[in-house]
Amino acid sequence: MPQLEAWQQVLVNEDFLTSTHGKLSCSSCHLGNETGDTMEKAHADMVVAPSADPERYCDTCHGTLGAEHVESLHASLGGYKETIRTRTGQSVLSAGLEQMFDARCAKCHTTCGQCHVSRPVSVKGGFNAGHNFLKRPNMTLNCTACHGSRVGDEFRGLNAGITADVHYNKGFQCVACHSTEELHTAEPGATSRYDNSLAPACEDCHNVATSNQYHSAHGNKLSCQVCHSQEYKNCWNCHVGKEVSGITQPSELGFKIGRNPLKSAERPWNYVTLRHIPISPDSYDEWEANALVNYSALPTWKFATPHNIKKNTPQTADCTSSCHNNPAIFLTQEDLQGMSAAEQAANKNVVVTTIPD
Amino acid sequence: MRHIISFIVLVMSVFIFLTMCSTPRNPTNPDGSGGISTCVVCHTDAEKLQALAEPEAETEGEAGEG
Repeated sequence: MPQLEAWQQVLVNEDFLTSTHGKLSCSSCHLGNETGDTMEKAHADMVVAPSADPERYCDTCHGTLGAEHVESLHASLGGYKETIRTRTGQSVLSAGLEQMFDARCAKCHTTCGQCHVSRPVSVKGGFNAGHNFLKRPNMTLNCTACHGSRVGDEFRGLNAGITADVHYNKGFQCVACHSTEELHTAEPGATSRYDNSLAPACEDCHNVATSNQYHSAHGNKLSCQVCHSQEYKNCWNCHVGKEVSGITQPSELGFKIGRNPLKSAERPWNYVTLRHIPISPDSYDEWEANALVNYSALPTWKFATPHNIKKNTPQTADCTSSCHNNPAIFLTQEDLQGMSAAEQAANKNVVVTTIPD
Repeated sequence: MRHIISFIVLVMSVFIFLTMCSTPRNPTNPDGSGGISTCVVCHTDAEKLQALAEPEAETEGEAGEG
C-alpha cells in the first residue's frame, strides 16, 4: 500500500469539524497548545495517539469498550508473546526478548484509532478519511494493512494462479464475518486468535451438516478449508534483527493437510490445512542468542484458515485421487526431510502417517 | 392540559435553540476567546501543511502477519 505524504497523513477534512468528535476541541484529546502561533508551540506536549490510552480518552463516552480492547489480542499481541515464550521454555520472556518484542513486534498492536481513524502505524499511519471516525474499519486501509501478505492477498486473489475468495467476489469485507465483539474483546486466557468463541464459523451462514453426501461422509473429520481452500502462502526463515529484519527465503504457495494441532470442542477436526510459519531456531539470535531452547514445543506447520475459499477446488475435483491415496497433498515425514532435527520434532504431532484410502 | 403542553414545547424550543448556539461549528480556542483553534487553521489547509512538512524518505508500507 503506498504511503501517504507526511502532510496528507494529518490533513483534516472540513466535514470532520461538524461530526460528533469534531465538535470537541482538539486539545481535549490531543492536549498541546491550541493558541500556539508556531508549529512547535502548538505541538508542545501533544498526544499524537490519544486512543493508546483508551480508558482515559475513549471510555469517557464509549463505556468500557476501550478497557476491554486493551485486553484483546489485537491490542496486547498476547498470542505472539505466548508463542515466543513457549519456545523459550521459560515462564516469562527474558529482558532481551522483551526488548525485542517492544522494539520489533509491538508496533503491530492496534489502538482504537488505528482501526477507526487512521491507518496502522505498521504502514506509517495517516488519516483514513480526514480524521473522520469510521465505525467500520476499512478493509484495505486497516485490516489488510496488517493482515496483508497472507490473508489479504489470498482473499483478493493476488497470488499467482489462485482465484479470489468467493466471499470477496460477493463483496464481503472482513467485518462481514469478523464481528465487532470478536475483534474488540478477549477470551480469558486466550493465547491464540482461535481462542475466541466469537470467531466466525462457516456454519454461522452455511447449513453444511447433511447438505450433501460429501459433507455427510466427512462429518467433523475435516475442517471446511481442507476441501474448499486453494493453495496459500507458506513462509520460511524470518530473522528479527536490530537493524534489518525479514524473511530470508522466498515464500512459496502450497497446500498441506495435516493433523489438527488445535483440536478442541470448537475445532474437532482430525485433518486441517497447515501453513508453514517462518520461525527458525535462530530467529531472535541478534537479541538473545540461542533463546529458543524449546523450539520444538510448537509445530512450525501451523493450524491455518486460508481465506481463498471456493466451492470447487482441486480437492473436490475427484475424491478418489485428489486426497484419498494421494500422499502429496498431506504433510508427511517426507516433507520434513532436510529440515533440522528440532524442526522435525516440532512437527511430529501434525504429520500424517497413514494416507486415507 | 393545553397550557402544560405549550409550556413543554416552549421549554424544549428554548433548550434546542441554546444547544445549537452553544455548539461551535469549528473547534475554538479553549481560552474562551472564541477564536478558531490553531490546529484547525493549519490541519484543514493542505497548502499550509505541505509548506510545514519536512521532506521524509519514501518507504514502502509493509504488510505483516497474515
